[in-house]
Amino acid sequence: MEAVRLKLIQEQRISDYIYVLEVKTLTGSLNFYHGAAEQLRFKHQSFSLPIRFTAPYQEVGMYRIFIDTYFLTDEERLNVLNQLRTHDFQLECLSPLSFVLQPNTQKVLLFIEEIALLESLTVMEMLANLHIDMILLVTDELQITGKQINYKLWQDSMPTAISFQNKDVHFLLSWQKIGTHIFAAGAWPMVDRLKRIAEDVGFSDELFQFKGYGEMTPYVFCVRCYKLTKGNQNTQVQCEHCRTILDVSNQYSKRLGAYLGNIKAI
Amino acid sequence: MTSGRLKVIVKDIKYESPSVKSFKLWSADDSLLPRFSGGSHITTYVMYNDRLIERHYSLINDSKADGYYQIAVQRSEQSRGGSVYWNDYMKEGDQLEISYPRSHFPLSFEAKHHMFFAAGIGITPFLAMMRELKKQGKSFELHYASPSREMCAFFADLITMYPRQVHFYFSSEKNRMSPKIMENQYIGTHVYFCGSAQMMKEYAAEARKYGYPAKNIHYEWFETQHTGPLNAFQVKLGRSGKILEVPENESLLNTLLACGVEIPYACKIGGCGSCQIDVVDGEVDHRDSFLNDEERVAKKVIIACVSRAQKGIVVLDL
Repeated sequence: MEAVRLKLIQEQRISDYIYVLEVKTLTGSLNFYHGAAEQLRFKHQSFSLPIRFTAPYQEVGMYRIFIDTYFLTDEERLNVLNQLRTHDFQLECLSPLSFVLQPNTQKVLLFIEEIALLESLTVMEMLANLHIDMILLVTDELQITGKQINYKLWQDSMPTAISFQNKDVHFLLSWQKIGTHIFAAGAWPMVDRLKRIAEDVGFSDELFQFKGYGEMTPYVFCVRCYKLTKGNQNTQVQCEHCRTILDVSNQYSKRLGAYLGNIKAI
Repeated sequence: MTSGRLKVIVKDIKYESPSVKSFKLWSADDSLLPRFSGGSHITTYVMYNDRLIERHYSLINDSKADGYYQIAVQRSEQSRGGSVYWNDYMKEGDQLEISYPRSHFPLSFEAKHHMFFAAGIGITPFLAMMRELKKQGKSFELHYASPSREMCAFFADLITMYPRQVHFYFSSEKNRMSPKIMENQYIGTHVYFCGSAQMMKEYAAEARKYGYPAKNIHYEWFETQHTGPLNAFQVKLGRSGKILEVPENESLLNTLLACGVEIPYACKIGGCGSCQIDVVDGEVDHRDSFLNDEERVAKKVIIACVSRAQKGIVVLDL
């Protein structure tokens, strides 16, 4: 298969470490409209860093690429930018985006934490390109349209972000109509909390997509009181709610996000 | 009595509309019949013109309390025997065999609000479902289309029992039920359809368009959905190497059963998946309404009661 070679047209720094690149394809086309990559490869050098891309103008061979240079040294960062400005390049280790737009989606509630900013920017771009209504719900530290992110291309088309930390999320979700989907990108505790609220309100698995970051907290479902306690598979834990000693099986419920905890036989 | 069947006596035959009769079925040995869940149906077995007629009917009475079963049968001009027999010949005191209740159309336990759409005799499964939901204090509403007020079975009962939940649509009053009612409902709403195949297809397609997830859309077929020529074909039983001829106008399921191959089955209309068999080789002409498009591609299986060979021989994992 022909290698996909790209050339930088325009760049913009939109936060301390994140850059958005407008690029044109010189040869070939990427396999996905929206996706991720792990490496920028130039003729003589490669850089590993988190990369996401969307194809707002795919028909004319234009892509928008987001790169996160947080893990690079200052010297490496400068080197990457210089290489981008002067050489064509390739994206390596491609994969599809974690979030997939389902048919007949009318609206997306996008919950974002800072750790997932790169992924979220790409999702926002994708939703905006497809003219899907979206509500951005962010943590207090992250204000997409505020000081931290300065992305002129978005100023007009992106909705204002709302902080969800002090909001009654249960109330907000319970007033949503059929056709609404939830995308949640952030650390596992935030994703887990939202997942429970969403399920309680009536969002099915199909309507709730997520990408969790960091360490995942394993939970155990107590067969006695039907509540969740922190704990891992094949261990023994005491239910935090009814104090029953549970033998935790390796049977995992995706719906509950927990392992099954059976009452310990004496 | 055939194993797995119940012997019952017909009692309390009642007109529910000029073309619909209800029948109470009590156990022939005076015991209480097993409980069932709302949306369940039974298969009835009656002899008519020297022919065994199997028909599926929804149970319409209180699923937890009564100890008897009640069904409602509309007399159809297009009857293939079942509805005519039940309406014209069945008498109080008659005995017959029925299956145990089966549920292919259960209420969702995840739903926050249930919306029922019934056309004509399609009201029947919802009668038991609504009783159940009312007892549990759950949220629901019924939209029920009928040719006219007079032809509307259970009209008086419904309006008395569920005055705030039921909405009628009478063609005679130029009031038509529309799938648009499903639009703009809150998350957690589940929709259920029962009526003609065309009505259910239309409502299911509209529900998807409005954004309902597949899990929130429920319906049950009472007739085979996909038709086509019933040509003869061959199957090979992969484990024994035996080759069977499925004659023209006969199903694979019946052929297997007649040859002594024991496989489970239930609805016989391609709706429940009970008679699904793994396919080792060959192309299947899928005519069921159980598998979705992805499953038809991903799984090598055949629903024996309705599906046939696309071409050549199909090798079964039997």
